[in-house]
Amino acid sequence: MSLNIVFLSVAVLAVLGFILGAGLSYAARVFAVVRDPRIDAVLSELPGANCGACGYPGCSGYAEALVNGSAVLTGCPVSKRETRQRIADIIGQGGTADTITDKQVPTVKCCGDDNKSARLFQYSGLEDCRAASRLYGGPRQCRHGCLGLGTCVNACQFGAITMSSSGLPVIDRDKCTGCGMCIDICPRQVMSMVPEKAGVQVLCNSGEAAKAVRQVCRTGCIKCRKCAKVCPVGAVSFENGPAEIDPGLCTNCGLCIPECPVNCIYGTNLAG
Amino acid sequence: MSIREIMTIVISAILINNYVLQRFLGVCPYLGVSKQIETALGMGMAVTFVMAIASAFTWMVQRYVLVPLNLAFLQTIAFILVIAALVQFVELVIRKSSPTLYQALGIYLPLITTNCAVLGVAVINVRAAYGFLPSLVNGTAAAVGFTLAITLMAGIRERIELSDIPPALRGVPITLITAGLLSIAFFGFSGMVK
Repeated sequence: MSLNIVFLSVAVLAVLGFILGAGLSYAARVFAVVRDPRIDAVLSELPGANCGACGYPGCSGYAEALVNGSAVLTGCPVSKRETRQRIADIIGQGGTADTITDKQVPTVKCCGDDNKSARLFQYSGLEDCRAASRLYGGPRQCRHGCLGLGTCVNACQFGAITMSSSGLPVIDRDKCTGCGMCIDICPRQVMSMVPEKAGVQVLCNSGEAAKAVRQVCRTGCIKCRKCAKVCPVGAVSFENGPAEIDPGLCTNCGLCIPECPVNCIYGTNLAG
Repeated sequence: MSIREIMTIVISAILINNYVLQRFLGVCPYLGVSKQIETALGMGMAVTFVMAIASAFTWMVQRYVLVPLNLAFLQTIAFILVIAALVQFVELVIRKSSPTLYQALGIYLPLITTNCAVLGVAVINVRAAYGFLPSLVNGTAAAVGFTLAITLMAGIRERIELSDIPPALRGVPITLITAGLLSIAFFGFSGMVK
């Protein structure tokens, strides 16, 4: 076998590679896209989870929108205050108090587990709240409470939600990043965002009248207003149906908790 | 070439000799990017684009470079070189001309470099001694078959996600069983064209 064929193969591949390489480097120059170096700097500050909670395709999309000025600093609910401050410095926006807010976490406004909330029928379909809620409005008699099939647990990208033994989601506020994906996916809209420091909460989502609530759930809010009467700062309101405690006014004194006749007020981090 | 010949190649590449389900090429993206119908379609589109162009270019390299120089044994390495450069080039062009499409295809575009179905089409074109047009048709039809397979798989997997699967089979095992069943189903097409 002659050596010629070896040299020829090497030469052909080298020439082919050279032509293609030259073509690519020329194309890279012709089709060059000018990219703002600040985009990469912002991107390196962002969490990088690509959760999509900001509404942009991934962290890089959000970083681009931030630099273009079409997104606001609070768009990423996952980022912390210090992160937003650093991003504000990079893109030359003065970070002010209203653009840099405290972390929000979801809360499940329902405490009617299997023992307290009556069933409408035995459900044995897909293990998914969205599917269950489409079947005659779900297997629970209460139309507003948690269905307990754990769709939010699967939706959470950060493993911050687990199901308790009684069948209600429990949120780990340390692991939670506040992206809000669980809130969007819940067919009952039983979750809502509260500031991380919120302590005392009314865990009922039902705006029905007292009699209707009592018929389906032993621990649903009956709007008796005893909590409002005992509250020293007037943080309890009944505007949207069930009692609601304004976390901005609440002092976490916990006086309302023993007052509730149906035990649907729960508290953590109580003062005093 | 006649319409009849073209139709035979098209039907054969899409249904009878489907590159994923019958030739078992390009199984990596088939299992990796088939979790959602949308992304599966995106991948399918990107592969279609690259496979069609790659068929044309590799045919030209084979015909005008390798065969005249008696270097047909360099086929594999030369084709890989051409395909890799082509994917890079396509990525550059798309990024400049259509940022929206670039965003939609995302990471899948560079991943096609290592999609063995693309190389498979190029090699099979040579082996079947196809001319330029049949090569192009075969490449495009093979990619359409790939898109069909990956989209079907994504549709099935979206439903599996919501089903009650025995714990031991959850995730990859049930996916592989599904892929096998889908492949068996496509065997039903064999013998359709003589």
